[in-house]
Amino acid sequence: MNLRFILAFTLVVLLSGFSAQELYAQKKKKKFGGGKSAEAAAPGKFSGDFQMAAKFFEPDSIRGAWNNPFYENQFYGSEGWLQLNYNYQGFDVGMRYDFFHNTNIFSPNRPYPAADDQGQGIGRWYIRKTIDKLTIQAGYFYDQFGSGLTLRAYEARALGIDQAVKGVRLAYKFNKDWNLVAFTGRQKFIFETYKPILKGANLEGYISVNDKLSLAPGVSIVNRTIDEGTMQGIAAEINTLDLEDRFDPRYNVYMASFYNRMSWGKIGWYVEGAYKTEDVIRDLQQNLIHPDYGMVGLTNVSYSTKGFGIILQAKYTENFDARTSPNETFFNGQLNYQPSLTRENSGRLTARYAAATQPLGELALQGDATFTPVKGLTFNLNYSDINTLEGGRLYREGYLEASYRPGGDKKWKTAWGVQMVDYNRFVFEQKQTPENPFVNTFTTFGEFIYKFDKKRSLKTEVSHMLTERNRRMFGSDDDVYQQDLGDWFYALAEFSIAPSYSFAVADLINLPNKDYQEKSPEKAIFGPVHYPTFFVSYTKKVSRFSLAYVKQPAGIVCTGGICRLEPAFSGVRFDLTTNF
Amino acid sequence: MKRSLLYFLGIGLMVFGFSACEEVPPFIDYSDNSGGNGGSGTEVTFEEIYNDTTFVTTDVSAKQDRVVVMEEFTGVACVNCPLGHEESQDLLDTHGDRLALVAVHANWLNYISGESIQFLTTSEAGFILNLCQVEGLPSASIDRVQFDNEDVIAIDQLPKWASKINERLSVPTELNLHVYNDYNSDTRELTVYTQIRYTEDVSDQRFISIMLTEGGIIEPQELTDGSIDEEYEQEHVLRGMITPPSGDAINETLEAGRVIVKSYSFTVPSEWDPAHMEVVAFVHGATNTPEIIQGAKEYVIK
Repeated sequence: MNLRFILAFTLVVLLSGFSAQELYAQKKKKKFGGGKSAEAAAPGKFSGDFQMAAKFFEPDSIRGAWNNPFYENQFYGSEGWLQLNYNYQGFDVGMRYDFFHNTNIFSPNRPYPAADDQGQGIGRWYIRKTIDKLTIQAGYFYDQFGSGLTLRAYEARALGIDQAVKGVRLAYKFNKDWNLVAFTGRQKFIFETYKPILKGANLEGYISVNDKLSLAPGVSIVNRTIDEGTMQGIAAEINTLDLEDRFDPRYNVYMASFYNRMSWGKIGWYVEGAYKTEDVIRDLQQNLIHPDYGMVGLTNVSYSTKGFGIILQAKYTENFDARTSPNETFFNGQLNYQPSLTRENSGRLTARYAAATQPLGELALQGDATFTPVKGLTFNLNYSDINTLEGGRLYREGYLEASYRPGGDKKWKTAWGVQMVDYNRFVFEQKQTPENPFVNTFTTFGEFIYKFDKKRSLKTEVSHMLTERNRRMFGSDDDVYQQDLGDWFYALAEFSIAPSYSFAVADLINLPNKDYQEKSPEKAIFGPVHYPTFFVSYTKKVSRFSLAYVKQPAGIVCTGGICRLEPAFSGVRFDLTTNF
Repeated sequence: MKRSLLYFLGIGLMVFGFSACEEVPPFIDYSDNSGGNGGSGTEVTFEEIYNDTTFVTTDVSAKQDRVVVMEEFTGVACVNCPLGHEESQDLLDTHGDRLALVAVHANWLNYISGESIQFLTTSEAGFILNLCQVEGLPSASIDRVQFDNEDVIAIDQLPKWASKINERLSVPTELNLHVYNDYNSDTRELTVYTQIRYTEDVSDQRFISIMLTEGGIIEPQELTDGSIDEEYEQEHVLRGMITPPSGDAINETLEAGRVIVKSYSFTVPSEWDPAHMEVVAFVHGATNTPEIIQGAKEYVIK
């Protein structure tokens, strides 16, 4: 009697016991229940939302917005999503119509759709029914296990990410504290799905030990199986390798994680560990490799009391690139989510350099503290440090901000701060050189908000970023080197008339590096280059319209911790969101 | 709740138990160290005809081995493109006469401020990049086929190029394609003769495209380490096309035994060096089915 038979028999017994318990519970309810439920009597209900963006591209060779179809002959791109939901007698059904017309959200250099693709249609549908404690859903669904290390099916529309799973999802609520989710399906890719099959389960709950101590543990398991067609392509590629590099790729990869959130009075502690079995993935040079395992460890500890809060985080990652197959690159085919242990900055210059997670290997630390010594005055201090597993520096940030809202007079508030960043541009963007991989910045920023009355307010913001910080501020003997586009200055004025109107004008100015001009006059940027923005928005009840004229340099765009390189943009942008 | 937890742990044990089960892997050839097809294919003789003509012969030729056409999308300001150049040259060295290589310089990443001497982008590049759905550099189209499990025609993962070429080399072709040139060094007039010999009946529309490439062009290139090689030799650079980028329609009835000879004349600009130039010709489908059916190549000056 072999191991496989024993395990299969165990599964049959467990599932039989589980099903029998459910069948008994259903019969018992049928015997003792009666009468129409309240939901059966209620009328149906429609709801939904709509979101769209339209861009009109204006060629601008000075600012790098040129040399691709958007600026050469298309001049227009748009994308939108209309979601409709209907609920009737406990049934939830929904449908979403997506359209992509020459959009650049999937590829900044190539309009989507291609010539033979309509680029519009039903992007999502679902049917959901709850029967007692069991919820059954078919169609497209989004979900996340724990912090997402094993599964995160989500969407980030601005980045062209929609990683819903198309299949069947079951959720069973044991009681108010414990629930189990299981699913099987395929990951969505625009209007199609990837062929590999996904399945998994997640059990999580809540345990109140006493008045002060509570636990929220969870465990998840996810399996991906590569289909035969995809595997034949991988095998064909392996067969072109040198003999000593060839290997047997595995169809199946299994991932498991355990996580727990503990709350003990003012202290919180979250820990999650994930493990992945042998998988065929790609290294940084896109060569196929097959590490025996992958793992991620993530933890954060927080303490919060009146006037003071602190959170410390750490993450270890090794060979944890989880995708539908090694054929997918960038955001495509990603099954999971690994948070970047960096501060999510909102300022124009403080957010210019952000560290994308390195799934093949990184060690990250972050600390964040907030202190309010007196009412109205708050300090925020943040430090993050990310290195490769071999000790090479990837990213380091120090951030200090002071915000003040004077007591009694609530008409104004202000915030000021400094940020220092070391950003390894050679690793993150494959720019600069191994000898000069970093952009070392020193940024100062300030913000002032004044409320004229209940409706009208004015916000102003200024910031300045200095590059080559070590040489120019701290006197190091580094060579003169143009780090990225050099220094920046930013100013914003935003006037709002609540609840409807908002007007903003901003200018981002690229400043010449005079030392670099003297050293390499044929390569340096001469004269400041302006990147202006003019913005207006109108909000009517739940609908928001906005129109902006934008000049934007190439850089990183991040949404919810996911970052992507974006080329320069020049033109007009219109956005609309509403719900009903 | 404890029972439910036990159920879940039981399922987890089952899942991980299966993870230890032996899979039957796909076929991996541990006996062959060649890594692909090498050398030239079957020689099929033909008569060189020097006037435009078409006729049907009862003497249907034997099928020629396929010549795969690889369009490598590249740029002088693309830091990873030198890796692409190395890979494509390795593939050319491996496959010899069975691979025709064209380096199409994209209309982005095509200029290094303060360094570039000339633009290597051609007027046809935009059409070709759009047709092959190029999203990034370096990437390559292999016979302009969108392979199974690929989202677009252009493949941006360099390690995949070799296996896709191997896959195409084994696909039989419906026609034999020969290209032979006549170059007058006094007038710089180049006449390209294309001879198509069909070996089976075909009802689909076909087109022929003719590209001119040049090697040994000294043009600065950004390298992987971020430095600039000012003496970089750009090879197989697409200089232009004699036909429209969408191809020249073949209007004859395509049946076994059909012979089509067509000549094209072109004056080589004085800036180009014919001693380093090659003609790459290929028969392909319409724009919405761009697959290359057969390729051929010949140096301008033998």
